[in-house]
Amino acid sequence: MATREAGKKMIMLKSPDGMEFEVEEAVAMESQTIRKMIEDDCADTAILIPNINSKILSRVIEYCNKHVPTTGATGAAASDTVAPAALAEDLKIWDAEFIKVNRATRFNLIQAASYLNIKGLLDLTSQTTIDTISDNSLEEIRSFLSTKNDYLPEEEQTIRRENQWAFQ
Amino acid sequence: MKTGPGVVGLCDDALVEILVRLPSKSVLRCRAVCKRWRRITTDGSFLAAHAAHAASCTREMIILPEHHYDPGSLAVETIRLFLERRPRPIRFLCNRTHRDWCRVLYSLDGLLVLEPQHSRFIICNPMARQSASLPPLAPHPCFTTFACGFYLHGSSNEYRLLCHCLQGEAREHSYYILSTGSTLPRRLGPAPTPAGPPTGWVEYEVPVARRGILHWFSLHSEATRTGKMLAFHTVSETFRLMSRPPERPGDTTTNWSLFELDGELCVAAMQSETSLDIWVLQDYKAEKWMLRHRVTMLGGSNAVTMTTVLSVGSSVILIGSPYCDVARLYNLKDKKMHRDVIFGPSLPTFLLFTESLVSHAFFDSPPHPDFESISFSSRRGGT
Repeated sequence: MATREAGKKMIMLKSPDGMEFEVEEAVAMESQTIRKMIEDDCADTAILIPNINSKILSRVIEYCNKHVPTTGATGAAASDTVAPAALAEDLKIWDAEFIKVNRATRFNLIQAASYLNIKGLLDLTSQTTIDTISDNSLEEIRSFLSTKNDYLPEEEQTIRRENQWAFQ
Repeated sequence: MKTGPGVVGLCDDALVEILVRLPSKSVLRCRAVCKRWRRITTDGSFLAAHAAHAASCTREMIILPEHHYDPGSLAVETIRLFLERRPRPIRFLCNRTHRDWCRVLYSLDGLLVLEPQHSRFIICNPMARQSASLPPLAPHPCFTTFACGFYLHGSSNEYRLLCHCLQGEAREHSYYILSTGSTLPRRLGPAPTPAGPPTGWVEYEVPVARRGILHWFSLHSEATRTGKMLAFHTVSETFRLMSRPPERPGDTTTNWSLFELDGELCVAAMQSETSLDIWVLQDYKAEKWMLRHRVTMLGGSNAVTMTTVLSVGSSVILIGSPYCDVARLYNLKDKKMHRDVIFGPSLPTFLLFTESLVSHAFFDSPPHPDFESISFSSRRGGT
C-alpha cells in the first residue's frame, strides 16, 4: 500500500461493504471517473465507489498503484512514453500475473474498470473475453457469458441471413 | 471453460466495453447471440463508438494487387501498419468492378469511393457489405468529371463528393457536388481553368482533411498559376488559397506530400532519394510554416521511391510511393528508421481504412439503373 509522503494528497475510497482504502490522489486519478469527480470538486476526501466490493476494489487499487506514472513524471506525460523498455516489459509480466484470476473475478474487474473508466485495466481484463467471442461458436459464447438464447429458431435464422457473410 | 455456479453475466455497460473492442465481423455474429446483444450492437451510439475505437487502435492502408503479378485480381485489400515486424496481416475488403480502370479514390469513416468507369462513382462499406451509386454527372450535364475530394457535410450529415467538371459544349469549368442525400448533382459554381494549354484533363491529389477543411497542396487547378495551396471549407463549401512554405534559394525539392501529424498539417519536401524536410503549418490562421524536421535516411536495404508520406501514429511516418512496393517507417522523435514495409505483390494507395458498421440510409435507397454492384466475396477463398 502507498505510504504517506510529504506533499502527496491522499484520497479515501470506500467500498459499499464498508471497507476504506487510503490512496494517493495520483493513483486514484488513474480512474477517469474519479479524476473527473476530483477536478469538478465533487470529491471531498472520501469517495464512495458503488457496486464494487472491497475484494475487487483492492485489486483495482493494486493495478493503479502499479500503473501510475512514476515519480518525476509530469501529469501530462503518458506512462508508456516515459517508461523505458525494461520497465514496460516488467509491467507486461506483472499484468500477465495480475490477470490470472477466475472468470467471476475477471468479469467483476471488467465491470469495475468500465465504471471507473480505467482504459488500461479494461484492455487487460477484456482481452480474454474478446478472444473467446471472436474465436468461438454462438453456443460457446452464450455458455461463456452465461447468456440465454431468447430467439425463436426462425428469428435466429433471419438474423443469421441478414449478416450471412459474418457466419461463413 | 465451464460455467461455474454463481457466475453472473456482465452488465450492459461492461458488455458494451467488450463488444466495442470486437472486429466488425464478430459484432455482426454477436447479433445472433440473444435479443439483448442485438439491441446493444444495432444501437447507433454503440456503432459510432465501435467505429471510433477501431479507428483509434489500428492503422490499415488500402493496397491493390499489382496486375503484373496477379492479372485476374480485382481485390481491394488492406495491410495493417504495425510498427514492429509481424506476419503480414492482410485482409480482403471488396472487388473492383474492372481490372484496368476501376479506381479506389477515397476512404473515409469506413466508406470507400470507387470510380468504376470514368466520371461514375460508387460508395461502399466493405464491413457492412453495402454499396450505392452517387448521382451521375456525365454525359449530362457534364462532358467529363474529375473527383477532387470526399467529405462528411457536418450539418446535413451527408457524405459528399466534390468534382471538377467540364460542362456542356463549351467545356466550361465548373465545380459540382454529388451528395448521398439527393438524386441530382448540384452545381457549386465556376471552377478555375488550369494554367497551360487546354488538355481536357484536370487532376487533384487526395486532399488532407483537418478540422472540416480539405487541403490540396500542389496538385489542383490553381497550383501552377498561384503557387499556393487550395483549401475547401466543407461546411460553407467555399474555397480559399493558402500559403505554402517559403521557397528558398537552391531548393531542389522534387515532390511535395501533404499529411496530418499529431493534429497538425505538415508537408514533406522530398529533395533526393535519401533526404526530406518536414514543414509544419504552425499557425494555421496566419498561414505560417516552420521547418521542423530534416530527415536523412541511410542504410535501408531496399530501394524506396519517395513521393508520398503518411502518418502512422504518434511521430511515426511512412515514406514511399503508390508506384513502389516498398515503403519505409521512420520515427521522427527518435530520428531513426523503424523498418521497411514490403507490399509486393501489391502496391500501396496511401489511403487509410478504418472499419465501421455505422448504418447509412443512402444504402437502402433504390439503386440507379446503371448501377454496377460491388462484389464482396474474395476469389481467393476465405476473407
